[in-house]
Formats: sequence, structure tokens, C-alpha cells
Amino acid sequence: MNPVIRGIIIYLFLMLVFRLSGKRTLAQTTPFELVLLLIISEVTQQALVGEDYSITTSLILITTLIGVDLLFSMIKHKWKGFEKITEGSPLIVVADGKLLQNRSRKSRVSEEDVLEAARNIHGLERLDQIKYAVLELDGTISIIPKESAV
Amino acid sequence: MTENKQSVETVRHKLQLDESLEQHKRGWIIQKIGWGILYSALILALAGVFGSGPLSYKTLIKNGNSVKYERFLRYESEAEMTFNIQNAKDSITLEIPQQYMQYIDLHSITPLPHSNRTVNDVTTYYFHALRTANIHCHLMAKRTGSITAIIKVNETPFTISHQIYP
Repeated sequence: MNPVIRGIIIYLFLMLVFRLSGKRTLAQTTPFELVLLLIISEVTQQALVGEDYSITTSLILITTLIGVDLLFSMIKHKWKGFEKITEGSPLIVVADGKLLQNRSRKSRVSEEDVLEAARNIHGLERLDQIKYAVLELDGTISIIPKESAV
Repeated sequence: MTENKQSVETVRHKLQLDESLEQHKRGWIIQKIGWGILYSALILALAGVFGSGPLSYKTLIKNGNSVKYERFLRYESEAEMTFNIQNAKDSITLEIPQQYMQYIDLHSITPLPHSNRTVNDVTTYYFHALRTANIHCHLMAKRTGSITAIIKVNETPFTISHQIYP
């Protein structure tokens, strides 16, 4: 198969699968998830290159992947709706020290995940010290502490 | 902030943040559908719809001779096709049309034929054999698409079909 078509198919498939799996999947929260990500990249590399290890194919594939990504970023820049479809939008999971149960359950964020982020970033001890916790586009959790907790 | 056991909580906040809650709700529904499709594809893959599984293997029997092969192949992946011949008298002929070889690369044949010749776009392999024999063909798909060809073993025609995935 033509490497350009192969590159486009792999790019679109990965984007679809990662979007469907949700922000928290493969957010590299555990060493196992990091290993899983490495395995996926290895499998992807084999599907992209196949038996053809020529420099020409590598150059074509790199150009294809960068080209598709550039095209998508231009479309996202022009049409914000497309950005929301492909990348989603941030979501508040803790407000005023309370875990928003339905939001966190649907986005698969646990209280432990929020507390871990709170400890790592701000050295907070309890949930009630958090003003907002936001699940960001890349799957990480941003913590905004209450002013009294700073 | 309003809370309900069923609905997603609405939050009034001062953050410069576009939550698009409605889009999140739609996204969660689409995600569930997507997971269903992903797991369905996995089950189909296990069953062999994409090759190497029970649904992929097919056996044809004619005049006491049989062929076992894989209906679903993947591009550049290896597969095996085995002919079982009963009551061979001194020799076996295996006729494979060139049209088939445009899609399938015949990597090796075991046992080795003692000779072969190509006439009218059909390659015929000749084997020394007596009574029962098995001929194993190691294949590799070299083009994607569908291929149907008639392969003859000792004049017995078998219609072989492959669906080759990219």
C-alpha cells in the first residue's frame, strides 16, 4: 500500500481510538500505561513501515504525518468546533472542595486521582483545600487551591 | 452548583474555561457506542473474520481429495494451504492459475515438486506420490482485495476464495 495512504489511515485510526478511549486512558499515570504506550508505538511503527526500511519511505511517512497534523491544526484554528470534536474540552471535576460524582464517574476520575494531583502540584492534604480540579485535554488534572490553603 | 443522582452537575465558576458540558454529554454517549464497536471488532478478530481464526479456516472436499485454507488473509502475512490427496497413482498434479499468483505469493511447497511448467497462464506442479499424500503450500498475500481462483489437484477442481485485508 502507498505509504501516504498508510500514514493517513494510521493517523486517523489512532486519533479515533484515543478519542474514544477517553482522556484518562493512557494519560501515563502508571508505569504500566507508559509501557502500554510504548508497545502501541512499536506496533504502529511496524504497520507504518512494514518490510520497507528505505529512507524514501521514512521521509514520505514523516512528511505525511506532519502534513496531516498541520492540516488538522489549521482546520482547528479556523473552526473551533472541529477542535472540540477532535480534542474535547476541559471538565471541572471538583468544585469548592467537593468531588462532582457524576462528572468524575463518567470521565473515570477518582477522588484518589484528584488528591494525588493536589499533593504533587500544591502539596495539599485534603479535598476541602481544593477550589477547582479540572480534567485537562491531555488527561492531566489541574488543581486550583482555595486561597486559605495556599 | 446543583447536584442530582442522575444528571451531570452544573457548576458556576469564575474560571476562563469553556467546558461545553453538552458536548461532553454527547461525547460520553459516543464513547460508549465506540467502545461497543471496539469490543465487537475484537470479538470478530478472535473469531477469525480478519484471519487466523475458526471462521477463517475452510475445508473443501471433492472426490476424496480435500483442501484446507484460510479465507481471510492480511497483506504480507503468511498463511498455509494444505491439499490432502487420496489414492494417488504414481504422481500428483497441482494446477494453479497465474491470476491467483498475482495476489498470492507461493513462498514454498512441501514436498518439493519434481518439475513444473506453465501453459496458458496455468502453472502445473508435478509430484511423485503413491496413495495418500499431503501437499503444504506456504503463502503470502502480496495484494489486497478479493481473489477467487480454481486450483486443480489431480484434475479435481477446487474453488478457492480469499479476502485480503490491507
